[in-house]
Amino acid sequence: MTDAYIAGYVRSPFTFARKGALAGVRPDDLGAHVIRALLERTGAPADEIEDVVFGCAFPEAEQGLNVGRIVGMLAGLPHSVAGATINRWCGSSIQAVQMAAGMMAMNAGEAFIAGGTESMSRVPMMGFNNMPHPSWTQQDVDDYETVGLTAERVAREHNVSRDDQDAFAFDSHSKAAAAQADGRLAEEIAPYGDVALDGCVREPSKEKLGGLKTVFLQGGTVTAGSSSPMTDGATATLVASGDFCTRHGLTPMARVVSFAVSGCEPGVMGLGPIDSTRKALKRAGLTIDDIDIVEMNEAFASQAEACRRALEIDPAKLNIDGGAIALGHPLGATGTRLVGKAASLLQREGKKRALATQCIGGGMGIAMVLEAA
Amino acid sequence: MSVIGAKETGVARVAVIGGGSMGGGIAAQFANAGIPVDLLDMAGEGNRNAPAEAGLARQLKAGGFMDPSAAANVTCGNIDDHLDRLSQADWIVEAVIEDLAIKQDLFRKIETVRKPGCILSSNTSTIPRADLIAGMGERFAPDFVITHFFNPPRVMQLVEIVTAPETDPGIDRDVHAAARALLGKTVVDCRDTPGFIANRIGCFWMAAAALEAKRLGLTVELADAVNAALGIPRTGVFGLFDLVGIDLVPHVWGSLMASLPDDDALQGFDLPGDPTFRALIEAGRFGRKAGAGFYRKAQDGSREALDLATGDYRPAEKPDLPGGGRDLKALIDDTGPAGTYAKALLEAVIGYASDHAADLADDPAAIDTAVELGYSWRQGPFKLASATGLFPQAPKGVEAGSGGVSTLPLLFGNDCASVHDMGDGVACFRMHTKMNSFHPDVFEVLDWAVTNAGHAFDALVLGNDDPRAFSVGADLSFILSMIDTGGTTALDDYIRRGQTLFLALRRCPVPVVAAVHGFALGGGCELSLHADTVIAHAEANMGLPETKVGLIPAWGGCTTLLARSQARGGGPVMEARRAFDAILPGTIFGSALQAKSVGVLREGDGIVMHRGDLLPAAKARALAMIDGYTPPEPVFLTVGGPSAKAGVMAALSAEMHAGRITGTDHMMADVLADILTGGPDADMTRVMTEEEVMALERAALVDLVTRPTTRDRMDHMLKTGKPLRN
Repeated sequence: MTDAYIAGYVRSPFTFARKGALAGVRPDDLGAHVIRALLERTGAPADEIEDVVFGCAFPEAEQGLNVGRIVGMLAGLPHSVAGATINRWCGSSIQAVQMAAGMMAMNAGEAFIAGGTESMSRVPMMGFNNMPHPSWTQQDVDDYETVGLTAERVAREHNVSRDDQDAFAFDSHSKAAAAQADGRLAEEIAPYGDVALDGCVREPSKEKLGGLKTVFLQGGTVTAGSSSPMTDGATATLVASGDFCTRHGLTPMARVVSFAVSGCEPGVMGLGPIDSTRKALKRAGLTIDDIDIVEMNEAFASQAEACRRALEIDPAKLNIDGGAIALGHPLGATGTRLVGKAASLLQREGKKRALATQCIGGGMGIAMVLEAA
Repeated sequence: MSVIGAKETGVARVAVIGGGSMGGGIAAQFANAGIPVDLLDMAGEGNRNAPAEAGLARQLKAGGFMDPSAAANVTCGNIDDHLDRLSQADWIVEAVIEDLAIKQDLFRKIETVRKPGCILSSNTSTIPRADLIAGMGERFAPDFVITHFFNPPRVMQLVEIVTAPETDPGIDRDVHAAARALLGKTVVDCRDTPGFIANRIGCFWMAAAALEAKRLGLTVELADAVNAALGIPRTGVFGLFDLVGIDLVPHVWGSLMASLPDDDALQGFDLPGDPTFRALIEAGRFGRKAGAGFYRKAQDGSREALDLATGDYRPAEKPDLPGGGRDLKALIDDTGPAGTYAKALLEAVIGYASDHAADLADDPAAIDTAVELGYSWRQGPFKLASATGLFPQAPKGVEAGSGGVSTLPLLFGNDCASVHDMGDGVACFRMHTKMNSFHPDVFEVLDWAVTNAGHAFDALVLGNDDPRAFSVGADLSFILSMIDTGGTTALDDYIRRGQTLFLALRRCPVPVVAAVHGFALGGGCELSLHADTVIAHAEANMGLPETKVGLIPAWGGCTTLLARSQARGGGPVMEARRAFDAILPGTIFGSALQAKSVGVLREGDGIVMHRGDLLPAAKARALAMIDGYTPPEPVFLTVGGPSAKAGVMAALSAEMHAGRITGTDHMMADVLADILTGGPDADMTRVMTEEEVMALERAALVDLVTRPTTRDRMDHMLKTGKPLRN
């Protein structure tokens, strides 16, 4: 079985949907942009790439038509390089990495571009023609689609108070703002034209966070400040075999050790990472104590904190450059950021093992364990 | 959607210099007409366009734009870096500070770049044209005119224009045409005299009204009540001082007095020298903006008035006027303080206007028009003279509004509606019920029009002369009484009749053009939706507010907006969503531009900026459509059925959980979503006819009226005039 390595990672700046600097950019252009940047930075030969595996949560309109094929074409890859779109909603682009790793394991290629793109400015969440099954009750639809309400439910059922959520959000914002100020985010970002910085990062204020109104439930606890913002962005990793890296002088950052997906009740979708992480750790023969770096998506502070508690993740290991609450969450592109970031942090911090995990609407979790290469 | 008559003005691009409330407002009004505007101000520090950008932002906030999207027509800049942009302008409006040297300095700069034939106008209110052109060279004077706008430029209908014999005839023609067609203004031609007309007469009136009240010992409340009764603004005179700011008195009245000869009657009403005004200014009691002036709010929220004798505040009184304030003659004949004051004031104002009419304008009627539109008087001084019999030697006031549709030859009609002959084979269907609501007798006339289309006339205009409403649709109290006496069967028949006639109107063999102004709501809006095309006054308030009273549009409003959305495409949910979003909130749109943004108006519909141009424009459009006209084909709708309905409704639950909509709103949304997706039996593989979707509208409406939540909403609206949030 061939091991899969993360041998390169790059992303676009992440900016607010609709009002941000990338709102006017087509998601396929943004995807092509990160692919070009990835190949430039790694020097990997384009004609030896087997496939472009690209995540997208709402693959229609400008990110439809099998956008995974289109981003490669727009990036100028040879036509011989194939392309596929992967949809597992928010988990799409961790899944893309896994598709590449899985194909490699069965000897179906030795170098892949795995990434994702999402313009939440240009394709609305739930798409333009949201048509849930008419047999579903309103509760079913709420559970499946209205993730803000699931965040409220997780907060209630797992006792993550408003204060807990605001504190979690404050930390995420603080870490991201510090990382941006120290230039720790710049390395992974391929500036798009003049846009070089993440647009969502702000210096937080406890007072402001505490004063925000709830947005999903009257009398609830989840605010815009403790939720990830609607975001535009694209991400890409180079997933390659050891041989490929050696042959082309690439430096692998991390090896894919294990992977898992899991399902849960749609109405508590935010708890998805708990089971998927446990499965992935078990498959790797590890416990959470063996993990040095955790990149867990922060769809909402309530669910991220509930998962952190259930999995007993040390806050000092969690999202050390900030998470999605501060950086943004371009749905189908986020997973590759988590994997790419975890791999690069293993290098930067000189650590051994990392976990990338996230919750997925509809009631799922996804997790990948990495080991420093 | 184009502004009718815009091309003919020759003004395709404009520059406004000065981003203050006047300059910004004038720029916004050009932008509202779809004209690209360069708004230039002085260069700022740092961001050099900051002053102009601040002016643009102020207009966005103050409602100078008819739709925020119109702001995209304005390009901000500064006079130092972007002077060259003026070379593209067909009209340059100067609206900078009232300082002759500054203005002339600017004019010299403009002269270096201005293209030949470009109108150059100043918005000055105090500097004579003769002074502005002095020493500016031969090329300047023929192209230079004064265009004096009133604040706020979007709202105030008056523009005073000062030309001279030397004015280039082309410039003269274009500035008049553009002021009307692009800015919607009524032009009053003035001679080059201090304050022109409106401010000259208006300031005289304010000074005389205030000082005569003091002289005759009236209270501010009584003086204001008399002025309001005379139809001089509703605020009265002291209320108006509070509104405009008492601190303006030394500057405005002082400079006007300084520019008038010593024997001018205004010198006899020395407002800047009056002790009461001086005391108020010294105390910083400038009026509303300072929280106190002639009136103020007491700590308990009650209203207090200034005692003109003592200078102290006391609780405001509500004075009784002879004739209840509604009988002008009774007021004039009164021998008490109110009548004495009214008579003295009218004689002073009418006398002043009469004495100066010939100096101020060629046409004495201009005096009335300027004061009515510039100072919001119900009737100008000469009309007041005619109405009261005072000052018989005054020029005769000319009654406005003569020559409307109602005076045209009658083809058919009853107490509620009529069809008139507009000439050239064009007929006009005119309603004349209260606010032009749909009494069933209106249908009799509409039926006649539909039946006789192609025989009695070749084209039909839907419109009227009413100052307030095209039509507000069905009368709520009438619907309630119909249900109470005839039950839902009567309502069903009424709705069915409307649907049948509206569809017949759409499919009748002649072109139908709706001339929409004022309120076009509910059924009134739906009537216009069935026309081949709409010519709308830019300030028309269209909308389908039925949900506010627990109902849904059922004369084809849902069906037509859905069909229009389907023509734009996007898939069954998105198409339904557009119509849903236009109807569910029950919004009354603030302008034609806003109505267009949701599909209530269409790209091919026309806009007129001046209300007076509406019916002629509608007739012209109707005439142009007669040759080769074929009625629209029946529309088939591809609806998404229950799957699409689930999609439309998916986000609504979240809205309810977040407290943004109520349970009744959610129920209304469910009913509306059902119609717009074709009902429970629909599927995207089958098309539906308009009649089928309209049958859903009708069934839904008849069902809704039986619900207590709807009844509560209707009762509340009738009782309070406000929507109930249940």
